[in-house]
Amino acid sequence: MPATFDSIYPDFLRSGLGKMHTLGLGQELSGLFTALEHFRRDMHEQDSATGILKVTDHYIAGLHLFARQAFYLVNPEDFSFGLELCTPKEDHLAGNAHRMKNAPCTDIFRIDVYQHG
Amino acid sequence: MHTGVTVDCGAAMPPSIQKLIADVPRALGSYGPILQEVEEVLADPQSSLIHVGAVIEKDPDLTARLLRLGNSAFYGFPSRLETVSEAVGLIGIQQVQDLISASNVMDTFSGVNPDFVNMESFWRHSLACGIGARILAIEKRMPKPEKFFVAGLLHDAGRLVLFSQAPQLAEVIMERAQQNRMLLRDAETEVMGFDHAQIGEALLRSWAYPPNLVQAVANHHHPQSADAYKMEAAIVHLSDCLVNAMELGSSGEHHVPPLQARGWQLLNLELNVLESTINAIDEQIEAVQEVFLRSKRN
Repeated sequence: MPATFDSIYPDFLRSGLGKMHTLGLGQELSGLFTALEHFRRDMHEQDSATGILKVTDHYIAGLHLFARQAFYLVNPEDFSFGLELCTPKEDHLAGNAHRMKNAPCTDIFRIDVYQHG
Repeated sequence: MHTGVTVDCGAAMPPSIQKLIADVPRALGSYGPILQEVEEVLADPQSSLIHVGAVIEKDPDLTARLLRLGNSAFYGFPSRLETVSEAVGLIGIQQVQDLISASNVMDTFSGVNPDFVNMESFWRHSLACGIGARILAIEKRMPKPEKFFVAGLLHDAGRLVLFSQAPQLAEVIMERAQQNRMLLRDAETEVMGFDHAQIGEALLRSWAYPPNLVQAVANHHHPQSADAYKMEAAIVHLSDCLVNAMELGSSGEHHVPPLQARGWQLLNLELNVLESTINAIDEQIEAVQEVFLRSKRN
């Protein structure tokens, strides 16, 4: 595992806690831990970058944090990157994903997956 | 140390808890003589903090650890501690004894086969749980928050007993958990009829740890079931869940254990307390790990 590896789960936990706090859903806390366990379980079943991103997209969307989400795969050779997954799909088809790439971080949840080889 | 005792998992009946803990040495570890001397000094009504400090200062490694911990974010004292006597005065004699005692337990299980669990990862999980438990105890204004650090640190000690005393059985349990994608403690119960929390309870009781700490360890997965010390158990339970969710080390468990809703209700905390607890664990874990793991002299 590269030294730069950062797990997404702590961020998911933090974001989930923040969202629940905002909505006053303290009594539902156990549901967040259950979701995290399902997230981890579903992630372990994936064997491709696309699969990992789809699962991530699904669970992040469940937090209702962002109106749009875009995921890019980065080529470590030259740090070029391409859009891999975008929700809603209409944004991708309409070319809005290109604009999303440069959008403020507060608006879009972006994960860069470093693809080896 | 690893005693090398192996429990035969091929037998029809799994070993009893008492058999598992029978060969675990009393947690004297490398600081045993110092602890004993500290107790002797404390028994003397003429003794003072300076006397206690002088005993601890005989051990340069322990002195360095104590000062590093005292000067770290774990305590966050406004001024720098220069002497052990200052540290003992500010942290408290009982608390210092607890911390030394916890270091001893870590020494006791230093020989666990890494095939079962990476010990650095195990202790990272345990230390993080201890940090979280201490922060939550302070938040709940519980007396002697250092006890909660020790409870968090030792909450999975029963698993170390299993790994060290019954390695074949541990292998069976881990395989079952992996194949059936189940919680490790559920696999423990299926195979042995009891889980690591019950082993930890018996171990700490045999070491004469205080009952609140024993109950916190015994019920850290189901605090609502505790006959007494429910709050202590709920604090360790919540901290364990948080640390598992944060993926800070691992005690061999690959899943996020479910948070018990009744335990959470019992604590009656605001969600923003959890956010600040997570941040504090993140801030303190490296310093605490440095103190407890990096400077081991053996």
